[in-house]
Amino acid sequence: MTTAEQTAQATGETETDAKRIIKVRLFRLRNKLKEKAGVGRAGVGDSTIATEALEKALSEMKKSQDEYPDWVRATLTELADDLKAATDGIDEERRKRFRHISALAHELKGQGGTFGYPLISVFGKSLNELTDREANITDSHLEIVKAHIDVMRAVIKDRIAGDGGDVGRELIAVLDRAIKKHTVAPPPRPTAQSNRIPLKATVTRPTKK
Amino acid sequence: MANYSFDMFNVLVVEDNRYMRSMLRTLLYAIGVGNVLTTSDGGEAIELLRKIKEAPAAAGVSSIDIIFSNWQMEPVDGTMLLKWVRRSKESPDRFVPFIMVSGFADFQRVSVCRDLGVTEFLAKPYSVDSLLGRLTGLVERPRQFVLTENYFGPDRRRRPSPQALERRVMKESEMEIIYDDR
Repeated sequence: MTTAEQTAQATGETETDAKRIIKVRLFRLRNKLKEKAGVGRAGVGDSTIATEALEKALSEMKKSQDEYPDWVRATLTELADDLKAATDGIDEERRKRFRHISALAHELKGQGGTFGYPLISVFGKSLNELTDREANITDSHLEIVKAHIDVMRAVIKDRIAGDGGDVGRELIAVLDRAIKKHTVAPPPRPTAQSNRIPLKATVTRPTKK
Repeated sequence: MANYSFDMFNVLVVEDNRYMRSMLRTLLYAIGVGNVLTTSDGGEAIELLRKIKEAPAAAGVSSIDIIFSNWQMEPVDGTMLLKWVRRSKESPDRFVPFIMVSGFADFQRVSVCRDLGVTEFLAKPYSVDSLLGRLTGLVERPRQFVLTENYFGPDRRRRPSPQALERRVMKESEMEIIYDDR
């Protein structure tokens, strides 16, 4: 008799119980948060969340929104400094600056919507994607970065909150045009006719039936 | 939604951006959270959590109830912090609710966090309502923790699904409740 079987016999378990393999272990913890949050505590009602707490939070949010343009302005200055250094620098320095630009753009992207400036999020996202680790760092890309800084400056200067309506759409179009203008189109793929060396033989693979 | 009072909560905010850090702290205080601690990256957070475990009196707080962490930070980002919190023996509470905050909310990234044992995901930009929603969700719908060969964290299945739709059907004999204090 194996040890497992002996144990099973001693504890009255069946053979299957003794040999069972536990794949998942579960932990069901006491709901400490609920205890701390006071539900069930004497004197704490089960009503809707205190309106005044929400009001207070909303007014804090409003205050942050009022200060937000100043923060963006400071970030745009930082971006412009990075752009200048990237323009003057080459290779490693330029790559380093692009990484910083990308990080700043990521922050702008994450915050714009929270503060009522979704256009900053849109432009931040675009800049973040165009300057990520795999991005090219040619002079054309510097122009693209500049175009992003310009449209974001316009948003903050004119306090274009929300989607900005016609002005917002125009800014998006301006940026799109700038990106297209400075994006180097990939060389056209050579066609069979443009190939100087004619293909002498074509290998045809048998098709599977 | 019940009328909760968060005044006894100790919340840790881990965010590298000074502005966002201050805003999240202000918002948490505004909705009634009693104590908000902040650090500016995952490494600092780990130092603080270690200190809380070793010398809570010196750290000024006995435990952390919820962690809000940004994802992208340097040198120690949100996923590294989450891994440490859930897996390190030095972690003061491997079951602590962990909310990952990120501007990247695509399925792939959310999945990564989910598999590391995140409790909730909060996408930037967020609103007061979504912040409150996460907080009350933690209070009202805590999930059991699951330990398998390659996962430790809150149960990734939030609600029971019909057996027929389950990809992995677990036999009862393969599960064991290690701890039950509910």
